[in-house]
Amino acid sequence: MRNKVKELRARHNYTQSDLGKLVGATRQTIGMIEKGDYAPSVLLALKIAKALRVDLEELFWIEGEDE
Amino acid sequence: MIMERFLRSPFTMSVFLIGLAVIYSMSIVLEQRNNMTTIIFVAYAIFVIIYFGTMVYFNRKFPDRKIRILTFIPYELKEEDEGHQYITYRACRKVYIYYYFAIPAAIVAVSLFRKVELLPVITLTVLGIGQYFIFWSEVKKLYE
Repeated sequence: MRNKVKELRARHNYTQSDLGKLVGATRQTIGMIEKGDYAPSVLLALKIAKALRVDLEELFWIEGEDE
Repeated sequence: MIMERFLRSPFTMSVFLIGLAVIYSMSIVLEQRNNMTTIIFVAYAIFVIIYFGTMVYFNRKFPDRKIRILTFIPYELKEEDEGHQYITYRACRKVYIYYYFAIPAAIVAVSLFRKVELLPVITLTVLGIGQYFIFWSEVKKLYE
């Protein structure tokens, strides 16, 4: 699974900690998601999408499929 | 946070384990107490005091990140959110696989060298250090 969390987070000028606080996760978890080391739960993914004001499909997608 | 990393580090736990093993081994090897055993015992006691003293200080300074002193959950387990839980799951899985092979190997080693009096305690200590090292190798991903 790939994602645009880092890019969109930067666009909002959020640090990993800021985003973590908004969605109830730690900075480390946000970092792992950005690196693709961890696929978040649907609930956390939805919270991140909401915090970054985008649709879920715009934020996360399956590798090999069109962005 | 350096203080929290020290308190929750698997390497700190290794020091506790090695200290106990050294104290036990010396009590077996040396028939009488000498200065060396006293020094090691006192050093271990100081380490224990420093460790728990640091924990009390940390809990006062950061009440929102309190570490429970009396708990059945090892201090190195961090499960603040689902990302931490995932890393803990991966680390525990690795440790399980490690013990799956290490325990039979340890039994064979102890049986083969039955005459080595300290081998059981050395084996247990090595197993424990291996466990902490494998756990750390996974948990360090949180800080990379």
